[in-house]
Amino acid sequence: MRERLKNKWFLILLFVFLGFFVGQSAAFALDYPKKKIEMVVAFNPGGDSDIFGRAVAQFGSKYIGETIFVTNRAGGAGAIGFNYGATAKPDGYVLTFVVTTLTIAPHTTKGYPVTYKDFEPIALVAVVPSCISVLADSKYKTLEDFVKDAKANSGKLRVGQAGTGSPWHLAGEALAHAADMKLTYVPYKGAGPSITALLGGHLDATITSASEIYPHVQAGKAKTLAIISDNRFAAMKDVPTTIELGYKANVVSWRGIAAPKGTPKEIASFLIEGFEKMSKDPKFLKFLESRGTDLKFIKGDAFGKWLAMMHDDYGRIAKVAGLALKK
Amino acid sequence: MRKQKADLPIIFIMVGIIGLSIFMLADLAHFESHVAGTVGPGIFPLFILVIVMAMAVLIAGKAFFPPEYKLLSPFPSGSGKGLIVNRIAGIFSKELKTPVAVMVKSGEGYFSAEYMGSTAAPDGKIITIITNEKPTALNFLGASKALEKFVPVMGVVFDPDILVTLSGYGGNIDSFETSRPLLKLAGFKVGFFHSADFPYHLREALEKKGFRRFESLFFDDPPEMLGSLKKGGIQAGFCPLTHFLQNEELCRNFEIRAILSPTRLPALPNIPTFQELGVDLISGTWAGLGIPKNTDLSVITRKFSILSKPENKRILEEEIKERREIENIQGPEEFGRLISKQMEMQRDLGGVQEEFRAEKDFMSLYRVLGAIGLFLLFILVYPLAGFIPISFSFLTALSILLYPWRIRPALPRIVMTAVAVTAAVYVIFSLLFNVVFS
Amino acid sequence: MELFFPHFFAILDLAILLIIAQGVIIGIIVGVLPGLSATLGVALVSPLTFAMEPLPGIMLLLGIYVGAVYGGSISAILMGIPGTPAAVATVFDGNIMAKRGEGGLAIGIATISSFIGGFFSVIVLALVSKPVAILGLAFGEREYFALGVFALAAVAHFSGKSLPKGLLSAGIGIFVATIGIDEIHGIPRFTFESSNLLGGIPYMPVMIGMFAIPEILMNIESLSQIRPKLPRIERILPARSLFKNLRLPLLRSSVIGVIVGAVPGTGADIAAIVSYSQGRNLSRHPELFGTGYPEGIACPESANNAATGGTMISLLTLGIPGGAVTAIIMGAFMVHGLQPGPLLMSKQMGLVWKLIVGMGVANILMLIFGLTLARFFAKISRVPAYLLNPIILLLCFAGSFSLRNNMFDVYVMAISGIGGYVMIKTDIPRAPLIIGMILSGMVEANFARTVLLCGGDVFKFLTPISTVLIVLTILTFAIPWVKRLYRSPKKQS
Repeated sequence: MRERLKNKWFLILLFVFLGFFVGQSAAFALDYPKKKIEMVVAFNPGGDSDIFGRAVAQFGSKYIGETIFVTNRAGGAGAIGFNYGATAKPDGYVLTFVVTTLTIAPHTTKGYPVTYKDFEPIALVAVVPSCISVLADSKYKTLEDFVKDAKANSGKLRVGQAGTGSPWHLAGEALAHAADMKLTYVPYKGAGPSITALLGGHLDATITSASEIYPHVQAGKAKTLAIISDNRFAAMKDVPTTIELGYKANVVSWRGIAAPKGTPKEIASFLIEGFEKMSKDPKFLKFLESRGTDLKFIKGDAFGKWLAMMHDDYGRIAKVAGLALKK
Repeated sequence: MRKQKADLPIIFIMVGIIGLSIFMLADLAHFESHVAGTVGPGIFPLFILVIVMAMAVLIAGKAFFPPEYKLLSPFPSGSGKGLIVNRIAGIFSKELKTPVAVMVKSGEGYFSAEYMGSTAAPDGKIITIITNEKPTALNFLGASKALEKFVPVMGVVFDPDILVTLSGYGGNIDSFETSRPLLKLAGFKVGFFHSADFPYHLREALEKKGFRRFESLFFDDPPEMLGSLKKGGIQAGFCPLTHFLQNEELCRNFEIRAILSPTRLPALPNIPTFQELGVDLISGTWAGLGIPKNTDLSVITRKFSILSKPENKRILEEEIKERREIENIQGPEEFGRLISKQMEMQRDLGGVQEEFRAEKDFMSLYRVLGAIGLFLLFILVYPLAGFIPISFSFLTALSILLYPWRIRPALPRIVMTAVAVTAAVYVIFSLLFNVVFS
Repeated sequence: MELFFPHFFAILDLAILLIIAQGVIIGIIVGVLPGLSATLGVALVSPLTFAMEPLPGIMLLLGIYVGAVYGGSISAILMGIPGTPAAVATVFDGNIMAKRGEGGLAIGIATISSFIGGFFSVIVLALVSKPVAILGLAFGEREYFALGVFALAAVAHFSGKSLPKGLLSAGIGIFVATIGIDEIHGIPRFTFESSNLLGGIPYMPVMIGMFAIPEILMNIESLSQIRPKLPRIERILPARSLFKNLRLPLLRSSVIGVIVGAVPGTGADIAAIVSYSQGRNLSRHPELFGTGYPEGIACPESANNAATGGTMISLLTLGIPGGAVTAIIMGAFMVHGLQPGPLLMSKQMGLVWKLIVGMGVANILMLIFGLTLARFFAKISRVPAYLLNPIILLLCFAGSFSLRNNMFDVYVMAISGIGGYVMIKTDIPRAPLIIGMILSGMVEANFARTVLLCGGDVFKFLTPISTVLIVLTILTFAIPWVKRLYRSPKKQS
């Protein structure tokens, strides 16, 4: 009798478990005849790139017509993932979610195996500027205050950056160079920990992407002094840009989709069309808004040219920051 | 000249570690730092490598001076018997005033404590825990194998099999009233708790000793058998005494009728032995100390005398009691007789036990190497071929390797399992977890 | 507190309960399979929640989180392979108990401990999250460094009889973790021009290899034509007397778990390690740890589930994710337009309360499912060895491959496997190696940052929290010594 009871429990649990799949059948069952498309995210699950990549995959699936699933191939500042995506078979079944690191790392990391030239550009989806932020109740009210203090106490101010060689680090270096100040950079593993450190009072300021500090600005815990770009940031309209304030520093972080070089034109065009439709999807735009990111859509060859420009820009900044590899 | 076989591998490995560390240290030289004002990127690895090398040197150094006395045990150190072995080692250490190391070798064949102990030098420095509690050689066969390789030094524990019925069951089990005590099982259904192909051979032994016309039923384990006894599916059953002692509730519902030990147990003075009832049979699981053949006799008696000293004996008895085992501390002759009796039984059963000849010692080594080889092959070939065929082949091949002979009855099962598992893994991982098995 | 009851009843809505149940079951399965961790499970399911309403979506993820952290203990106990990094400490006593035939009891203890830890953390989350979150936020570079060193001291408790061997193992682990791009300087170390090594050596395949493969090879060594059947799993629930003895360790470990979880960047795995080592230090029978002692299961299991609530504390209260899993959950929040943090607490109090209650329900469901499934899982050990061992090997392969779809990880697993086998044969403990790998980054990076910020002044290392931790570290080593000294005068008298 007890045996039967236990079996009953077990069956109940089994059905509950299977129910999960039934509920999601919309996504799974329909796509079986066709092959799914892999989108490579070169970073760990949970990170900014990963969440973005998964969202793009999720929303893009609708317009591409088949499921796009994400695989995380993390490691080596994107080296593993990007390399895999660039050397995959150019049949349209392996896409790569490319981000800023692709245009920075070749300049700073020895032995980096891939550059933007190894890809067939599909579309740029979003651009996120970097910004410098302090605690909401900090004594610095404007960027000028900060610069003045930095110059007065050269090398003493502690500024967090999200990893040596990351866009935020370079943004910081660019700003420091433009404002002619010396800062002590404290490297962290990503923007998240550096924001945590700021909130805990362990840093004077931190440089992160605007989208990552945005929730804390909204909550009233942090304050952004300036956007390190030439365009104001839509979600934080009243924060001035560094260009406006007279400092020539402009570092953005971007996200896009690419395919391996040699992908046939028809497939590339189809993908470009699909993602263009996605970029107009109100739900996708809502997602961008929630992450405080601006939509910037550049497709195909124009994206390729934009990538080249970014690559050179970053090369220059890296040299300024002293991070460039000695060739 | 002592053979120091165990130490060379450790020294070898430590040297390897030191070598690798030096190699890594060389790589440290060209680290350039991009961040000023803090420790360079090479400092921390340097520090760690130094510690690693220091420890390696320490360990290698210790390996040059292995402990003189070793106690080889097949029981894992956390188990009840393992803790008893530790206690014995402790007593020896104290008396001999030198460390006695317990080396646990719980494998079979080549990897077993028995193999290592029997091939050791007969100088009395390496003592082996011998037991007939081995899957490859159980009960009577185990006794025979032990005597082939070892000379018994002393017994430690003995778990005899007992015959149980429901409390208050009359019947023909024993009759003290008659002048000649008898043990009859005719017409009964008797339960044995090992399944048919388990070479415990108690049933065959009983048949050899003259018991006829009883129906035997096999159960998976003691609880199942006792359950059937309670419900009346069988009228009597055999099970190990320790199982009984470890469950007080059982003692209430069941009654022990007879015991398969050489003498009555002090804890159960009213239970007759099978021998008293006219059946010359001893069955049960024992463990004790053994020494390789050709060892000097004086060594043996000396070891036993250490442990039979009253205070040492008491400590050991307490430990045994705490671990819920049954104490059986005997000297070399008594212990030897216990094992020999069982060996005799094995000879009588000759025909039956031939089928279950224990495997050669090196089979286990072949299996381990084979498994490693197959797995590496699987990993290396996988990128070249698809997941499904390779996985299926791997599962089948390894299952066959691990399953010894009698392949034919098991082959369909192996193949079906391989197919089912391959399919399940493929579906779950690629569908649910989006793994790309190219 | 008037707000509590309406939300409690709201949770009892059948659809939501079903979602939570599904999450917990999926989580347990993910946890049991070696190679799949809580992080991976939550990451994979999170995009599916984008299309759902926020409450069920996030509840699903929380259910998976709770289930997975618990599920890892099942494979740790039955197979000796930690299913998730958080179950590393459960292997020692759990697996030995299983080998003795007490596998069901071990699972029972693990289930109940996980429930107590998890539920405790939910209560903390509900009542005192603000102070705990502020404590977590107070952790800066010096505190993280001290915490890392404190957790490393746990190595001493995993070293068995020989401390040099434990230190060697930990040293190797720490070193292996430095391979790759340096966190502070951004330069590659020990990568020898290989782009795979550039990514560093991931610790999950190492853990799978080092625990699973030696276990399987040892099984093969002990193989024979007939396999003795282990006694049937008779009891799952621990006896009341056992339970009474475990009360204090459970409470202590739960507190440790919540605090360690609340510190941003540390999660269930570090909580389990610290709790096991402190549990052993403060226990009445430290020598029984590692021999199949129930306390050795209760401490890590309650701590790792307590950490689940702990990591949610900083997420919900401050908007800072406490670890990788909560970072993903934060992402899920944001997709729905919700910003976790003080803003959410004030504007959407109801939702937050529902989530907290839901998490409590998830823990209860975990208890129920765990106890029910325990017998089923324990039966796995009765599958014949010649079928089971190849299957586990296949799962190890699939598990380590599924992390990054990269064969390199599988090679790492194989090499670690052989290394682990050698370690077992030479009696070198394996847990310190994993502990070293997990903590290496934290210790080194924070040391470097501290030096960066404090110049050369040693005393600047000491802050209230870091001093406490350093003192605790010293005590960890000192207490066994003191105990030994204390015992010998007694003997002589």
